[in-house]
Amino acid sequence: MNVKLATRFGLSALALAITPAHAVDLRFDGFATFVVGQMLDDDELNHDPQGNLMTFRGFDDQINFQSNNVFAIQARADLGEGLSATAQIMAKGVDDYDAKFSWAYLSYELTPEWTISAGQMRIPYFYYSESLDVGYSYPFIRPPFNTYDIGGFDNISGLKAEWQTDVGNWVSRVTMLAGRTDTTLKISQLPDPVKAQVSRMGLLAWSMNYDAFTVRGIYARANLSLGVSDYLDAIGFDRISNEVDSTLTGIGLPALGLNFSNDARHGAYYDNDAAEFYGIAFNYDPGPYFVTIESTVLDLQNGFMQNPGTGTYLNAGVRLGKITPYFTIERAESDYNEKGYRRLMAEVNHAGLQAQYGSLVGDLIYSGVGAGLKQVFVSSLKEENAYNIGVRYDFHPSAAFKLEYMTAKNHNYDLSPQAIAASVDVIF
Amino acid sequence: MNTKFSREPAKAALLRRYTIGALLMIAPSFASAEIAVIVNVNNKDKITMEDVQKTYLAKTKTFPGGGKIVALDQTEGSTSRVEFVSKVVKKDEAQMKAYWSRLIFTGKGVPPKVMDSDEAVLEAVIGNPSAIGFIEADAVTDKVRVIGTI
Repeated sequence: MNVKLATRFGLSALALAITPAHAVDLRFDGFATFVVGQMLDDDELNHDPQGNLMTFRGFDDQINFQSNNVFAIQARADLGEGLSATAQIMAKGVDDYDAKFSWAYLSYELTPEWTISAGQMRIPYFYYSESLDVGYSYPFIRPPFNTYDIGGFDNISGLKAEWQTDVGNWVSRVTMLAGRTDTTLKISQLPDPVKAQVSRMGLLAWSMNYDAFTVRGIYARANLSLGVSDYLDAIGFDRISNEVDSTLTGIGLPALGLNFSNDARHGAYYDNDAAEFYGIAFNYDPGPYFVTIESTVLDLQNGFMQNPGTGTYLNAGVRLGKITPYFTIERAESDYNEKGYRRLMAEVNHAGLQAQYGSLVGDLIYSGVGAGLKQVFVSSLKEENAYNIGVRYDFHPSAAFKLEYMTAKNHNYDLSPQAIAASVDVIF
Repeated sequence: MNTKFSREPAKAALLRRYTIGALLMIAPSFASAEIAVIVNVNNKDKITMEDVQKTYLAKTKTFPGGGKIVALDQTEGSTSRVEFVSKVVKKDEAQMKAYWSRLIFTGKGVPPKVMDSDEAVLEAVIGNPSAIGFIEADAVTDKVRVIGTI
């Protein structure tokens, strides 16, 4: 997505930067994270619908050296008069180190208070969003998994305005962003990556900082499309209909030929449907210790996935010189799209089935179809408590070592996966 | 005074003596590492240490009078910087680095330009009416305005 554009933009920024006629200030910064980890017991894992064993935070029962690794370089060309161009190229172990432009944008400082940016950039959903990949910038190995799961829509092409101003003794920062993104996503319930689009996104974030205390609120809305309709038809609606018919004909009864209307099927699709996101975060960091609390809600107003999904965590730590012990507790919950489910069930005529097949078989068909449809809707239902405890050791001025034990209690499947991981985070 | 002192538990007395001794031992190094925050002589703004702290945390980009700030930093680990970061910014260097890593990689700020000595800072502040910097108090000359010593 827009990589070509980003590449062209990045190259032209570089070209500008090396033109000696301009007094351009070029600055390179980089960061890297190397993670190694292993689950303590892989009996506590689920299988995905394709029968593959899922992972816990990217770890399984083998020592894993690669999937969480990140390496990135950022170039910023200061073109003078408040204009700058920034590009960040990132390679992730999970993508086999295929380097990509994660962002590339132009910024213009209108006044010391107002900055506008255009290009491809990170969507600031969360407190740690904008430095999500910079392990060095936060205490834990990765930010709380469930709360920070936004399904891969991390970056956007658009326009951003930032307004930083003093309000009494407080520093206020307002971020407004509008844009769209086209990408492909891997959804755990589906075998292949699907096309995904977020359009007409509008976001407003406001943070207030006073000394060591920061509070931040955010609201965003967008239209979401996912290329899942063919897949849902095949493994959902048509399969349910076929299974009902083969069961009926197998016992010598006439086929039902159940066919859900397009209108009802749309309740499970994502077809330019509204999605809303809101969140609030508090951080208190006077130096010797720190506490962060963040809570977010993702409300997809249609579709087969969790709806709405909420996540809340508390993270705290104590800085004892170069050693920082910390812990996190997190709670994530999601409901399912009951409205979409009911709309489909409304097309299954219970009384008609009883009249056609008799009350016993009619009831069985009705409850069978209901169970099949529910599977479509609740497969990503989640109720999970997660915990981690770890220690960060700043062993070098530009590097930190972290050791962390992580576990979760998944109430839907009664699973309690555990893992131990270590990381080295570097900035340069 | 004497009676009070004699009633002090032996352990506390020992601790007190030890603390005083320790303070005496480190006192000279403190004295030599006094830090002065300096601006150009033509800068007449009233600037507090709190303003300076905000500047080096990218929370403010202008002087109280509205002029744009060009902040100058020093090499990591140098005496001036260690003292400045701890006394004025009220963080240690690792915390400062983690804090700035969030700003750099979010495009929210560009760190102050790093100068390699007190002399280089002094020279830059003399030459730039928008500059602010910090140097060891001993290195101050009358060609710059000191807004505070700590």
